[in-house]
Amino acid sequence: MKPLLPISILVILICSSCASLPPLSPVSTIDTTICSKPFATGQQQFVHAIAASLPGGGNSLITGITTISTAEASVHAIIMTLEGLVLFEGRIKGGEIEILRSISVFSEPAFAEGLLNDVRLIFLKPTGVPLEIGGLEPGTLVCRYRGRDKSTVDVMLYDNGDWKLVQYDAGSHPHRWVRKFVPDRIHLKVSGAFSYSLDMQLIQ
Amino acid sequence: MKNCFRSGINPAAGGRLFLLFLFTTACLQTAWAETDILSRIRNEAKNIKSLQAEFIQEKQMKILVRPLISKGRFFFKGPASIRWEYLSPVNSVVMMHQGEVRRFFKKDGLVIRDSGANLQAMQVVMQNITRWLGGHFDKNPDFKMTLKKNRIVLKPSQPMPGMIDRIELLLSDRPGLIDTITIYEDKENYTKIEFRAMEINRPIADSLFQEIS
Repeated sequence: MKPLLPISILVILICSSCASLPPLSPVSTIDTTICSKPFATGQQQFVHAIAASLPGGGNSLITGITTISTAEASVHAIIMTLEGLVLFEGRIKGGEIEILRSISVFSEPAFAEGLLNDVRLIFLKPTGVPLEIGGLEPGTLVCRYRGRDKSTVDVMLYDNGDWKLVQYDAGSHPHRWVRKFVPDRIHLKVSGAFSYSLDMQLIQ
Repeated sequence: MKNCFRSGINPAAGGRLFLLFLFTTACLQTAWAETDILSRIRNEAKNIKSLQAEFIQEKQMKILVRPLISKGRFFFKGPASIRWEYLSPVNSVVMMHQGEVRRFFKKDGLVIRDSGANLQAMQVVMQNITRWLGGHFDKNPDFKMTLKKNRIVLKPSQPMPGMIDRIELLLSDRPGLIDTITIYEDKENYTKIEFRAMEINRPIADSLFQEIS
């Protein structure tokens, strides 16, 4: 009996690391242009009031300025206090992350990478063409993209015009969710060891 | 030459001495004038027991398509209580009372306490505002102060590139009050806070610095 316990743990670990993506049901008409609907086009700027629920349970209200260029596939992001004190400024272009200025905990490279990846997920259409298009829930259409890092992004489009993004890691575990649920308001939730969420209200 | 030998002064050197005298006198006069103005502000500031005002904050950045405008209300009560309240585009309030700084914001009708790292920075800002309202513009060793007419300029003692190049305080015609605070990050990026409808010594309840209301 003794060897069974480690084996069962191993099986659980293997099973949990080999999750599979939810299967998509076939759809009759496929127009791939609809997959771009949630994302910014051309060069656009957004200013959001961001209510952040932080790892460990704290909360913070900050201002986020995001400038997107789809032509350059670049994101320029600034996080500042309501009083205008810049906490972080960085950009991501062609996969290269650059921290332009930062203070305190905002100087951590992991923070910069996480923040810019969040912004990229929210505003930029995943690169390439959808791997698969199909249905998932009633009244939804899903465009499934595969990233170079083996991650997957499901772009879920609802009949009422709302949308949702789900990002899966290389093991097909969902770990990032982005949802637009009222006009000009976006919600991001990230799971994992340092889970957090951002409630973004467009203010300019 | 004889006269010069008699007086023991070379004419060219005498001219330079005279210029040095003029320069020194001008510098001393400027320093005296600066000290005079500052002591006048401090004396007036002693009479300000409380202050309330509306403010308009303009954030200008090179990257911004148009400036970001915020509006709110400011309350001060001596010796060091401050309420800094944003009314638009978001609802948020920072309160400093008895050395404690707390920030709250509203989300979906709920009042949430802010526990972010940015609160430490705000504590420093509010302590400086308290000093300025007391006329103590030169009391923070982190900044060097100069007075240019009705403008106080505070430059960081140690460079803070990309964060603060300088802070300019535009003094009000009424001594002891500040019309505008402008924080320059560099030439193209700044935050300007303009105070309006200032009211002095109108009673303010302590609860305003402790409760969100």
